[in-house]
Amino acid sequence: MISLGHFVALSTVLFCIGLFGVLTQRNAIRFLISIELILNAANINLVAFNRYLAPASAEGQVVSLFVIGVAAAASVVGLILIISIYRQRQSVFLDDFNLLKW
Amino acid sequence: MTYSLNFISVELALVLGALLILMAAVFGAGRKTLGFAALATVMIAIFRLPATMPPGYPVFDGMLVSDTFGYGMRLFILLTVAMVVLMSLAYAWPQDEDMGEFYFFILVATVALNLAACAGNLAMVYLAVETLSIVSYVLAGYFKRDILSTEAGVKYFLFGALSTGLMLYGISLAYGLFGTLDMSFIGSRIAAGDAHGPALVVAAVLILAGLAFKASLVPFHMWVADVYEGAPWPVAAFLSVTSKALGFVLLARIFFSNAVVAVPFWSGVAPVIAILTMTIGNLAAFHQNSVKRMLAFSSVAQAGYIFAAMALGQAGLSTAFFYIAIYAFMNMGAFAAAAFLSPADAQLEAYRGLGRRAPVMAFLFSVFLLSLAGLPPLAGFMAKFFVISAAVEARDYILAGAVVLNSILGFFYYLKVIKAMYFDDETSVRECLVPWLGYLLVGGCAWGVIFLAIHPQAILDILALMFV
Amino acid sequence: MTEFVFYTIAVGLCAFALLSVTVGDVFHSAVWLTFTLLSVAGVYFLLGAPFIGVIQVLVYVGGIMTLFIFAIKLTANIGDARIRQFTRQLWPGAVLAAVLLAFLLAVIRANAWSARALPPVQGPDLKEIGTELLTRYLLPFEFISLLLLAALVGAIVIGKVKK
Repeated sequence: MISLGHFVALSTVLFCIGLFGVLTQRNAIRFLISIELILNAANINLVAFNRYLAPASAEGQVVSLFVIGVAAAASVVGLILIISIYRQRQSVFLDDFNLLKW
Repeated sequence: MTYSLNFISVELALVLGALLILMAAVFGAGRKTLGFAALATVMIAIFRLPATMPPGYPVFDGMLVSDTFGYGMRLFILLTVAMVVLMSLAYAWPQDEDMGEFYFFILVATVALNLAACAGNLAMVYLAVETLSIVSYVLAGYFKRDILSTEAGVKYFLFGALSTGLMLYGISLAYGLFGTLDMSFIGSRIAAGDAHGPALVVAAVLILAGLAFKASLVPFHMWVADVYEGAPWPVAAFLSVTSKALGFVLLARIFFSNAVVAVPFWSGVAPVIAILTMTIGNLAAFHQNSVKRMLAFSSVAQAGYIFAAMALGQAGLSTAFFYIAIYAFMNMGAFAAAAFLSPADAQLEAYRGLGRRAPVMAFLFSVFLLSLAGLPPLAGFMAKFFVISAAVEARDYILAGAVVLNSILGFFYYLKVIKAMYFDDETSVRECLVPWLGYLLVGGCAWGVIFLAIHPQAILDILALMFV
Repeated sequence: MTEFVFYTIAVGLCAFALLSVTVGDVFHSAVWLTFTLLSVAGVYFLLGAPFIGVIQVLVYVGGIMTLFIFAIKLTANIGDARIRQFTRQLWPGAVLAAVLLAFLLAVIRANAWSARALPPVQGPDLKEIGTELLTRYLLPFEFISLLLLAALVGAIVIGKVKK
């Protein structure tokens, strides 16, 4: 029997992998990849909780649709910003962005 | 439905204005036209606002709530955005920047801010906060040929996307705990004692992470200096006042609608965060050679003072928002004055001797700096005094003492700028041309700072209505 | 049977995700991310949410990953496997993530989510999603179109090359 706990555990693992990525990546694009993992983990939570705990409404699924849309919009803007800085500095490594001190 | 449509007629006006401005820019409208169109849109929205009372009915099936707190905050948001637009009209933009899109983004951000301020559903909160954030990333990186601005945009994006991602995960956990994302339902469940436990704490911490980022609280404050320094001055002003205020509004809505009890560490951890924020903000501001970075860290410290009031619990809320109202005037004025005095170069050296070259603007800038520092009889002192007395009343003497010490600490770097303006000789001979709009804005803010110091009753009455 | 499918997808998901954050070449990262996203779509199908699964494939894999590939190719010489890809906080980061994972799994146990079995009722289907989008979630539905417009204009503003 696959319980709710299985799905939440799965999303938690995905979340932690994403968090690991966020903490350890130098490359801005891979940082963004890690954030996408976190967003997907949240989405799995939403859909799973919807199915198991509140099957009468479609709230979790609807919100996960919005999250996918928002993730798309954010990725568009983020990637174009990264490309823009690459054009100017020939680098996307976070430690190289030291014109502004971290 | 008609009630709901009436409620968001304010935001609809803003959207319409935004789209018209975008189209006008395509057809070659000039900067001033676009700017005044944006200002007119915000004014129309403000005039439309009173028609959206009475409060109490659910709006759009609970997506938004119609209460006096939301009403007050929408007014605040519209007024501060009007100030930002005014500042942008008077600011010396580089010749080849497209302004149509800029005003479009500002107006879209305003819609997002308004919706978030009235949000009744966590999904609405997430959507509105993300919209505001995404638009802000573009605004921060607006000077796309300026490497500092692009870097600011990228850094803001990376930090921001991470925090809203964490917040979303927290929201998903809240959904799992309560089976719904409706905030008032969640609040009543928490007050009834449901679902208390580690999962709720984790969800609360994650949501707090996202909001603390917007409000620039430690340890989510690191992006502020770099982003404010790289972004255009009006964008920095917008981020430091309006965007930051939204962080506090959402903290109030989410953590004070009975959710405070669910976060058992609130009374222990919140004052620590407040003290760290003000101290780190002040200490970092010392070492800055750039006036822009200094003002950025000063705004972090100010966020610390505001959060100190919130850390006292329900009773401290109106004090916190009183501070936010005063802070809007003085910080907007400070950023505007600093921008007009030296639009291109933000280093301290560029401000030397401006006391003689631009006496009026330099004087007004000094007024704002002293108010931020908390000098009586200016409004900033009154705001700090309320925070300290609220802390003393709640017997949190450590917090009160921290506010006092930090205020004294803050004086030093604020005075550094004033000294440079009045007592140092100019390093470069430069004209300081400020259009009358600039004087209008800065004068208006100064008037607010001085008037509210003498007569704070106006704001206090509004707050009393907001926090029934 | 369901369990077999679940565990296959779950193990695949975790493996792909881990690979996407650990391999040296950023392009490979993106490829592993694609597989991760496809696995997530599989999870949605398993949860009885086929519509979300399809949208995930279309938007996330079809749209967002295309963007990522473009961006990676346009920022070409930074994904070289010889360049150090990790910050100096690699091991503290790994430890922190592992500790957090253990903590969160404990939280799940404590919350009795593990005990929850599939309820006997039918899950929400496409008709309910559609209804919900046009009734309760109408405002966000309309508002997100503003967000998409703003993101589009923003991308053009930033990306436009002036002659």
